[in-house]
Order: sequence, then C-alpha cells, then structure tokens
Amino acid sequence: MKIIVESSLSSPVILSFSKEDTLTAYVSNGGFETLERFLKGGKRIEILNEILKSGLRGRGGAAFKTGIKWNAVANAKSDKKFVVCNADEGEPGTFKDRWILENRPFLIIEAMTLCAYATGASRGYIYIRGEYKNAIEVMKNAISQAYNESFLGQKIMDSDFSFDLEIRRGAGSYVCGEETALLESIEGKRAQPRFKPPFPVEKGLWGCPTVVNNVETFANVISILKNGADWFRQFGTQDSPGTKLFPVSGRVKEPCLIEANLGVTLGRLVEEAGGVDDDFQCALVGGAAGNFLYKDELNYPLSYETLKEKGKVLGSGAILVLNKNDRREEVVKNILEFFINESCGKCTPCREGYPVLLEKFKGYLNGSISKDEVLRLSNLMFKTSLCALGQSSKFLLESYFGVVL
Amino acid sequence: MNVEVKVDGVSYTAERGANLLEFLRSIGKDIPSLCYRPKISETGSCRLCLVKVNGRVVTSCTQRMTEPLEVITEDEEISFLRRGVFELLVHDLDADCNNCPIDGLCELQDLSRKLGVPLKKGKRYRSIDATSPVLQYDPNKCVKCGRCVKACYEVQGKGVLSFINRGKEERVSAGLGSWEMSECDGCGECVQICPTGALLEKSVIKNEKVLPFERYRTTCIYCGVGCQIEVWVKDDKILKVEGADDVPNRGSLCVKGRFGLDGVLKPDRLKHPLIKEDDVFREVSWEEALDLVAQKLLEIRNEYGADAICGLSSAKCTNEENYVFQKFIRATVGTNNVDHCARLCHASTVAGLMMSFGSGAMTNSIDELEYTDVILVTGSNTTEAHPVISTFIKRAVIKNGAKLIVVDPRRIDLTRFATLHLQPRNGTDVAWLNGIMNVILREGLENKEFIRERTEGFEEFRAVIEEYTPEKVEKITGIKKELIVEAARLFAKAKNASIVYAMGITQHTTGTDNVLSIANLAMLTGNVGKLYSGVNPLRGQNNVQGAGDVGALPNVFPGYQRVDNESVRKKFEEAWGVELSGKPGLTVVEMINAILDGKVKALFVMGENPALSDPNLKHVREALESVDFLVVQDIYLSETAEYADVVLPACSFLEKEGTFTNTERRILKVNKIFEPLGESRPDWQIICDISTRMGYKMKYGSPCEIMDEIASVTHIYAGFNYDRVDEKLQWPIWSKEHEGTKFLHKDSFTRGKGRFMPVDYIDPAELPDDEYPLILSTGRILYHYHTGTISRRSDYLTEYINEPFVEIHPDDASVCGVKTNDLVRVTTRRGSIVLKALVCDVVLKGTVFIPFHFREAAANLLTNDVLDPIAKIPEFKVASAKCRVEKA
Amino acid sequence: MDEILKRYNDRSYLIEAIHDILDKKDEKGLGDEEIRKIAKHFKTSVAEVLGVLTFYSMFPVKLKVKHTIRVCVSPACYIKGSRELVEFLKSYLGCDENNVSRDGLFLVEEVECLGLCDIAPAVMIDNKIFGNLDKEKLKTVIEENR
Ligand SMILES: Cc1cc2nc3c(=O)[nH]c(=O)nc-3n(C[C@H](O)[C@H](O)[C@H](O)COP(=O)(O)O)c2cc1C
Ligand code: SF4
Ligand code: FES
Repeated sequence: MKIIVESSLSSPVILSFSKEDTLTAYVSNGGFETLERFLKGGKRIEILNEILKSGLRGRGGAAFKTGIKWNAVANAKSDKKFVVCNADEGEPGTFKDRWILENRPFLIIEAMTLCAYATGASRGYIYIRGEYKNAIEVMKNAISQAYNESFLGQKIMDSDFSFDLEIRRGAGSYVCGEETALLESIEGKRAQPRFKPPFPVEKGLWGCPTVVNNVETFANVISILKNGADWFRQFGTQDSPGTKLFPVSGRVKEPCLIEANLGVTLGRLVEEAGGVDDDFQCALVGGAAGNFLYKDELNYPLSYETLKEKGKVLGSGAILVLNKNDRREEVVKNILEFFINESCGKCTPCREGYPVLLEKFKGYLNGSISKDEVLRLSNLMFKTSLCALGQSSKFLLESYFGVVL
Repeated sequence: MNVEVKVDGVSYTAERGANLLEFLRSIGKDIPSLCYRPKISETGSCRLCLVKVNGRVVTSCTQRMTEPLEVITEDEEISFLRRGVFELLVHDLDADCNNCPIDGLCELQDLSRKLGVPLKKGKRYRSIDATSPVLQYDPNKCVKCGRCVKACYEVQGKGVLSFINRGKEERVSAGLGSWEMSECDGCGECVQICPTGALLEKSVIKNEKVLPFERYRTTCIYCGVGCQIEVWVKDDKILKVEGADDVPNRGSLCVKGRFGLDGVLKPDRLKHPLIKEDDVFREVSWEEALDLVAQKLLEIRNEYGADAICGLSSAKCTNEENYVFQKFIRATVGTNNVDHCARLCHASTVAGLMMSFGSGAMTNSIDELEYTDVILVTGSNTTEAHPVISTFIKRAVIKNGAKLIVVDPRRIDLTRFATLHLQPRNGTDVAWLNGIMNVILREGLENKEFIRERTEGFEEFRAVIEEYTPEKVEKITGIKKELIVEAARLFAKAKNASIVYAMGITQHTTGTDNVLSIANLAMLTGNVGKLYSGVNPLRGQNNVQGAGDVGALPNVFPGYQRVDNESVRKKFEEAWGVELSGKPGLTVVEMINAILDGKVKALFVMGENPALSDPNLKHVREALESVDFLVVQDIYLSETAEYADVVLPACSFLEKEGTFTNTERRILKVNKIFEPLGESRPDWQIICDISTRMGYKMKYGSPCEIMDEIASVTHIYAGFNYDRVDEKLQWPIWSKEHEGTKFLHKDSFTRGKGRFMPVDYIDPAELPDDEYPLILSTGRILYHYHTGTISRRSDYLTEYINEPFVEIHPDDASVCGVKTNDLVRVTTRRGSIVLKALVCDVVLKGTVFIPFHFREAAANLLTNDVLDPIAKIPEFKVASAKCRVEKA
Repeated sequence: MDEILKRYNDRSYLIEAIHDILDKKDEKGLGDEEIRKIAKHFKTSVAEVLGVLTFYSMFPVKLKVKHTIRVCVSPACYIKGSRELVEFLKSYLGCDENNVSRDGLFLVEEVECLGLCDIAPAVMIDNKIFGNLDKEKLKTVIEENR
C-alpha cells in the first residue's frame, strides 16, 4: 500500500501515528496516554465538549456531527449503553477503513474506550465485514493484547472504569454498513434496516442508546483530544474541519490512499495518485452511493458543504477515476446491478425499484425511454425508501445526466 | 399527556407518543397501508402510508406523536408517491384477480381501486409451497409485507416462519424450507393476517370464488378458552373459519378451531333415533324412541326407586341444556345422581378452591396473563391443551419481559420460554409446593399484610410447611433444591404473579390437596384479589365451567348451592314446583361402580363418552354392558352409544342456540348456523319431551327462556340474559346493571377470609415397582380433542396425527430395546394396549406418556380408577406400567 | 461443532457461530441436522437460522467444494476487466450451472466490492487476496492454490 501524506497541505491527523503493530510500539509513541489522562482525573464532559467543538463529522458517508451523537448517548438514561465501530466498509472504491484496521488497531481501541467512558457505555463492538480476514486477525490480536495490559476489561488502568470490546464479523452484505442494519446483524439477525426515528442514539443495540461511528471517525478522536479542538480546526474547512482519507483507484497510475485536508481539490488528489492513465473523463466520488464529478470540477474543493451546494455528495470519499475510454453508462448499469444484489428486500421502493430502474436505464440507452422517466423513478425511490440504500441512485443518475432535481 | 396535532389544517389533541397512522384513521382519514397492523409491531416496509409531517414525507405508521406536528394527509405529491410505490409493489406480482377465490375480499385489491392502479396477471416463476395440510403459500402473490412472519412470532410465539434470501429473491419460508417439515402446527394466524391471496386456506382454494357467502359468529367447541369464531358458509358448507377480533381470543385460533370444524358435519352423523333389538340398531321414529325412554325410566323408578337412575350431563352441551338436564334428573326423575366429566378434570379444583376461597373457578382473566410479571405454569401443557391461552403467556415473555416458571415432569413446549423449569416426579406436587412456601417463609418473603388482613388458619399451616425444607423436597420430588429456592424467590418477589394449572394438578388422588396447596401459595404471596395475578385453573372442555355452574353436579344445585342445605332445597322446590331429594348423588366413577353392584339400573348419557374417557375402561365397559337400560344422546354413534339400548340423535352446536361459559367465567353465545342434520334435535328439546312424557311438564319456547330461568335461580348469573350476550360478561353478574367480574375476591374472598389449609404430602396410589417399573401419565395433544369423536373425523386434523403413540425417554427405551415407530405393548395392572413408540426426551426418565384420544389404543384401559377422597376425581396422571417391544 | 457452540451462549452470536462452523468444515454449507442443532442451541427457530443463512452472501448454499473463488465485479474491478476474468475462470475450470468447477474443487462467485480497489481487479481465494490480475496471472494463482 502506497501512502501519500499530504504534508504540504497539512500535518496529518491520522496517518501521522507511526506504524504500530505491537502494543509496546503504540504505547512508546504516546498511545493510551490520552485514555490514561481522562481516566485519572479528566472529566467526561471535557471529552464531549472537545469533540463537539472540533466539529468532527462522521466519515462513514452521512457526515453527521459526531459530538452531537456522543452527547445524545451521554445524556440518555439507560442502564446499558453501547459503542459500535462501523467497519463494514462495503462501499465500492473504498478501502480506507481496512487500512486503518490493519495498521492502526490500537488507535481505534483507545478511541472507542474514550467514547465509552464519555458516554457511559460498558460494552463495545467492532463490526468488521467478513471479507476483511486480515483486518479481523490484526484487530483480534490487538484487542487481546489490550486486555492483557489492562487497556480493556475490568477496571481499566486501575481506574473505576470497565469496558469490554469484541469483534463481530459480517458475512457479505453491503447494507450491513447502514447503521441500523448493522445493529440487527450484531444481534445475530437478518440485516434489514430499522426505521428511524428512533435513532440508534435513543434505541440502538437491544433497544439501548448506542453510538455508531465509522472507523475513520474514531481514528480522528485521539488527535483531537490530544491536541485540542482548535488545533483540529486548522485543518479542513469551516464546516468540514479536519483531514480525510481518500482512497483513489481506477485509471490512475498509482492507486493509493491519501490523507488530505477536507477542501482539497479532486485534481490535486488525482495528481498525487500519479496522474491519469490516458485522458481524464470523470471520477466516481463516494462509491455506488456517490456521483460523477467531471473535468470542469477538477478544481472544485471537496468538502461536505461545497458538494452539497452542487447537489452532490462526498460520501465515503472514494475516488474512482475513469479515463476517456471507459463507458460511464456501463458503470451506472454495474452500480444498479450492485444495488439489486445488495438491497435487503425489506421495503418496496428499493426491492422492486432497482430492477425496474435498471430496465428503464437500459431503455433510455436504447432510446425507448426518456431520461425524465428514469429520473422520476430514482426520485420516487429517494423520497420513499426506508434507508439510504434505496435512496442512493438519485445522485448517481442526476450526475450522469448532469441535472439536479 | 397530550400533544397538539394539526391535520390538514384542523387542530386535534392526541395522546402523546401514540401512533400517527392509528390516530389519523381514528379521525376518519383514509390512509393506505399494507405492512401495518395493530396486532403486530410496526414494520414500515410497504411505504404506502406516506403523509407529510412538518413538510417532510414520512411513513405515518412509524411516526410517534411525541411533539406537536403539522400533518398533511394527502396532496399531489403524496398521491403521486403512494401510487408510484404501489405500482412498484405490484409490478411483478401475479395479481390474477379473475382466477383468485378471494376476488372481492382482498386488501390488495381494495388498495388498487383506491389508488387507481390496476392489478394484472403476471409471470409465475416462483414455486408454490402447498405442503401444509391446511394452507398454501404462493410467493407470486406475496407483497412481502411481513405480517405473517411477525404474526407467527409476535402473536403466536412460534417463529415457524421467516423471510429467506434477500432483495428481489426474498420470500416467506417455513421451517427448513417447506411447511410440511416445519414445526407449523396450523394455527392459521398467518393466513388470517395475509392481505392478499398469497396465503390461503386449502378449503378456500377449492372454490372458484368465495363471494357470495355468509358469515356467522359463534363460539368454538374445542376447549375451554371459548374462542369467538366467524364461520364462513357457502352452499351450506363451511368455507373457512376465522378468529373474531374480540374477547377472549383477539382474532387468534388454534388448528382445531380454524381447521377442525369439518368434523362436526360428516355424513355419518346420527340422523334418526335408534333402538337396539337383538344387538342391532333399528331406525325408529322420535315418537317411538321417546315413548320407550320415558316408559323404561318410569318402570325402573317405580321398581327400584329414583336413585337407581343416573344421568351424565355434558361439558360439551350448552348451559341451557345442562340446566334442563340436571333439572330433569332432579325434578322429573327425583334423584341427585347427575354428574358430568368435570368430575374427571377439575372436580378437585372446585372442591379445593371452594374450601380456600369459597369459589371454584379461575380467579382472573385470560388477557391479564399478557401483563403478569411472573407466571407459574404447572400441570398444564398449555400450548397443546389451551393453545390460545399459551399465546398470552408467550407474549408476556417475548413482548413484556415476564418471567415464566414451568413445573412439569415433561419438557413441554412452554419450557422454551421459561426462566426456570422444575421437573418433579409425577404426583409429588404437594411436596414441591410446600418446599417453595418453606423457602418463602424462611426468607421472610411472604406478604404479611395480606396474610393478616385477608386470611385465616396461617399458624397451623406454617407448622406443616416448616418440615418441607428444600433438602427434604429434593428427595421426594427429584427437583434440585437450588431450583426450588430460585423459584420461590422469583415467585415471591414478583409484583404480580399468577399460577396457571390444569389436569396435571387435579387428576390425582391428592388432587384436592394439590389445589389447596396452590391456593396457599397464592395467599402466602398476596396474589389473589388483584389484577394480573390469581389462581387460574384452565378448564378443559368448551362448557365444563358452565355445566358445573348450572348444576350438573351431584352435590349442588345451579350456582354451587348445596343440595343438603335445607333452605336452598326449599328454594328450588318452590321454583320447580316439585319435591326434591336432599341426598347428594353419585359421581361419575361411583355410578359405574354402583351399576356393577346392581344398585343402579338405568343410565342416561347426554353427549359424553365414558367408554373412552373414564379410567379403567374394562371396568366401565362391563358396567355399560350390564346396566339394564342405557340411553345415549349424541351427534355420532360414539363408543358409548354402541352399548346403548336407545340412541337419540342430537344436533351439533352449529345447528342450535345457547351459551357456553368459558374457563374465565365468561358467558359466550352459540348461534345456529345450519339446519339440524336429518331428524336430529337440540338436546334441550329432547330432554323436555322425555320429561313431559314422564309427567313433569317442561316446555320452553327457546334457550333464551331457559336462560331467564337459570338467572332467576342462580345468583351468580342473576344479572344475565340474552339481551346482554354481546357484552360477553364474566360471572358473578349480580344484577342487570352489574357489569360482571373480571377477577374474583377483590376486597374479600367469596367465603369471607381466605383459608390456609395445612396439607401434607402423600404418595400417589400406585408407585413403580419391579414388575411395573415405569410411571404412566396421560393427556391431550394439540390436534385432537377428548375422545376424538369430532376431531378424528376432521380431514385436516387427521392429516397431522391420526395414530396413537407412547412417548418414552431414550434411556428407558434403550433398556427395553425400543426405537421410535416400534410397536410396543404397555401394560398396567388393569389392562394392556399396543401402540407405536415415540422415543424422545420430552418425558422424564422413568415415565411414559400416552394421549387418550385414540380408541384403537385406549389409554384409559390402563389408568387407575382410584379416587381423590374429597373430589372423587380419578388418578389419570399416575399409574405404574411396564413396557415391552411387541413383534409387529 | 458442539465445541464451537459451547463458546457462544447468546443468541446474537448466531452469525459468529456459523462462520466458525463453516471455517472448520471441508465442504461448504450446513445440513438440515446442523441447522436444527444450531437453532436449538440458540433457542431460536430453524426458520430464523435459515433466514440468516440465506441473507448473507458469504454463507454458501450446500455445495461440496474445497475452495471458493470470489471475484469482485464492483466498479473499480469492473472497469479493469473483472467480467472477463469471470468468464475466463468459468471456461478454464469448466464450471457447471452452479458455478462449480468440473473437478469439483472450486466454486466461482461473483461478489461485490472487496475493498481491494487499489489492486483492482482483485480476487479472493478462500482467505487469500490476489490483485492486479489478468488472465495469465489468475491462471498461475489458481494452479498454485489447488
Ligand atoms: C447502504 C449503506 C451502507 C453504509 N455503509 C457504511 C459503511 O460501510 N461504513 C460506515 O462507516 N458507514 C456506512 N454507512 C453509514 C452508516 O449508516 C452510518 O451513517 C455511519 O456508520 C455513522 O458513522 P459516522 O457518523 O462516524 O460516519 C452506510 C449507510 C448506508 C445507507
Ligand atoms: S432501502 Fe433497500 S436496503 Fe434499505 S430497507 Fe429498503 S429494501 Fe432494505
Ligand atoms: S403501513 Fe406504513 S410502511 Fe407499511
């Protein structure tokens, strides 16, 4: 894995932690210091405030403010609360969480433990997709080391705080990345999303308040608590503070993972990945749930709010570059097939809609159906689907047709 | 707490937190929906119930009104979206209404009309599952609303159904993929809740079109729950049966009620009176038959006295008929020799609870069980014998987090839901009950205030209990002492605890003792006289409660008023205008003995089947053979009728009117749906005619008139008449204004103070020994009812099980070399039968279990007819037996 | 199998238990008896276990094969020719309609994104990862992993 740290843009937030395959290495680089500081005298409220102030937004795709989530769970009244790390990473084009799990396992353990401490949770789960065999191994190992050294378990580091953490494996289902489907899966069931509200922060695992955050979101936590929210806010933009991991793949010379300030341009990232193999046509940003960005958008800053202004999304940050020979419509068809395969089947618009949408799109390609009809259906699915999986094609198709409804 | 909700510009106040869809419907808004049903939890998957809340499109079924809302129920966008979703929902269905039997009765069809989206015949590429005996699933018509899956688990507690696959391939599946091999027991909850033709009864599929048809309400006959049923009739045949959304069953039914009523109307029903001559029956006219019966009974009375005549009334007939029958025996014949098979099931309950509380019925109501914190079920295989009640218990556990304690030698289905399962040796109930009470007292967990204020006899009782330490009880019962302690704590610490029991408690020589001990436990913990608690005997037959209530018992007049009480007798003599006997009559088993002793010469049996239902059948059959004159009035030529001198054809509950009283004391209406088959007549009319012929005129215009008479002499029914049947009241109903009694003994017990009765443990009458090393126990199974007269005629029920079997524990089976399906001979001191073995660990080691429904291997040839000294109930549940493989 | 089940008491471990059981088995998929046993252990119904088994694509239908080859067909791999790889594999291994190779050793599955987009087109053979493949390389990999 080639990693390019965008040092000219910022000093990195996540990748700066040096490789830590052993607990000793992690600890000697200042690992678990932050946890110790809070367990021995720090206040829960400080953690909550710092995360809130940092403006950190979830890196799993929906970009919800992490501090608000944590506060909601901290304030919920319940005997039992849970912390869940979403490591299902099924979004096509996305491989950032895998890298973190394999290379920074203790960073996640420490962050989840702090989150549990701040919110009053006593148990945590890392839900890793079943295909990530190596990441599962690494993480398992890390957890057992952490238990051995009292960074997990009863009375952590001789404090009064206890926290148990375990791994749950996925088994091949993209929708498990959707937070409520993920909760169902942790409970050992068919991963069909629940309706919201109630949100997981009110009723999550077994009906108890639950924080669900993406791996990368947790990976930001320690540097925020170490260096402070103000330090963190130097990076990125006003509404999207911090840095982001961008997995770049497709027709670039050197597919890789890049940490960069939020607000970095697409062009810059492509360049860092060695430039395009042949002529740049467009990039699929955000995976299947994402959208196309074109040549004229190469210089546009990539942040949650800037893309939203354009009616587009950043999603997971995945960047799949297409050159002039690639056929966008093939990619669209491929993605619609992906959604047909991955729809959980629970709600009508998504289960029945995607197959019809694919047919309509093919109809459009052979000239028998208007693009409005295609867009009308994807818009209907957007408005009526139970979870975001069924809502996703809207961005893809609008960006394909170059219209925003 | 309320919340302001503005709907389409109009302001309303609604209950905070309530479901928006329900609320919108309650104010008359017509919102389409498929997946939502009040009976199950919200799913939010069909996406049809869309409305706008504060400008956002949401599904109203998943929206709770927790804060002020502004709702638009329909505008252009909403209509567009609803229609669009519906189009998607049906685009790939085979909605071929023209060729569907439920055309015109289909929720999907209604929605299609409402939304203006036509349904069409489509591709049929998914395979149908038609392997269930009673229903069929056609995935080509399935809208995946999930109602069936949820109903199976959330309502019935079964979980036989699940969705399999995902996305477009999703479909409903039973068990490991087909209904046939699944644990589906055919309750049909799924069929009733399905909004399309995807799940249909096989009886419905046989029809081209269901419409037009008629629908009648009545009360099911297959057990004491008294489920309200809707019978759909077409061309004078039962098309199907649905559960009515009403007390007590709230729409649910079991396989017998839903699919087994065909057994009532089979062609071999008795259609003409029969007289036996030279061992063959001859069809005769009613005149001839009735004349003969009247004349014979008069002759016998004249020669041997009234006490030489006995009558068996029927727990399957209506209240009105039982009343008429006991009046006939008492007023016309002049004896108290009237009893019915309550003697064989809950005589000990009536006797015991009378002593402890002063009233011998279920203290609380069925629906309370769902909200009880701790439920102790003992001696009741509720899932099989009272299936619909078991769903209330299961829901208490699954939905409301109740704790269930099962005390039963068998690993019955409910143990799957139980926190604790205590497995006592058969017949050691007093011991474990005393053990539990010992722990409660030792740990000071008793309800002292209740004991002080509401009860008497405590000190004497305490003295006995002190000896039953958990150690001692473990020795007697085989239950680990830790479990006894745990159960005691769990039960005693509950806010509300209820005890549910049935014949595993009552059918013992110590039946009354067992019941007294249960009453003691309830009083000790203060769990009587309040909601969600009580002592709740589940009555077995459809009207066994009512038959007793209206006096079909040898020692009491209607309303449990004692015959040996002078003033009571006076009252009835006045009401009935004759002199009455003050001597308590014979009980069921005593009648049989008296026949063999030559003291009883005539037996009149109305709708009972002692030749199969009574213990020690060889003995019973001898009696039936030898009695001078036997009249049997029934709907089929039963095993007992075969012995009769005169057989009188009665009509079934589908052909007459009346009331049943269910196990929770609720009076329920039976309605006439069909004309009587052949020349058959309602039981009450036949009895009235015989009575009149015998010189005591009985004439009623209708069952309604009989009920008015019942109310006039029976204080607990005093406020009831047919004008109030729709209220489905529970007795006591003191007056026309009184609204019945949900639970008994509220501020004081019927007898004043509750009475603690000290009870010591006594061994069952027969214990295993070297010759007969096993304990035999008998009971019911789900698919059959009593002696099978009706259930074994049902095409559907017999497809599930139609063969006797004996359950043997694997350890015992290996000792005698028995494998499942081997023919084995089971022998007791009284008899011997041959039947198939079912080797399973449902039974405790050292015991065998045989259902008593099967005439070809009648379990009661083996049972012991020793009696409980007080209640005179026989010990059906314990007999020592031996078992060996029979060469087939 | 009993060993594995003993490790898991709570109903929520159903998926974990199935993973472990399948990992230990030579042939893929669970038999009816095994499903019954699992259901009984977790105090749930067989229907529910079947529901879970059939929901997740990593849990195979009952097939006797030694290796599962998972070929990613999601966009990143797709544009780099993973469809051709699938076609190649099927003909090279002589797969039947269930996508089992002629020699019965391999099951070829088309799967969605494996998170290996940086080395697209990518393939997993059981637990091992292979990337930047073309037909020749894939052939070598298959032969090395028989
Ligand atoms: C179909 C679907 C798939 C998703 N997959 C993932 C995923 O793989 N990883 C992830 O972190 N979030 C995923 N999400 C987003 C989660 O639902 C949720 O927003 C996220 O875990 C919250 O964490 P965050 O706030 O830290 O981003 C997915 C959402 C949907 C609708
Ligand atoms: S939108 Fe798709 S994935 Fe989400 S609940 Fe509906 S069917 Fe399932
Ligand atoms: S009724 Fe609301 S989504 Fe089905």
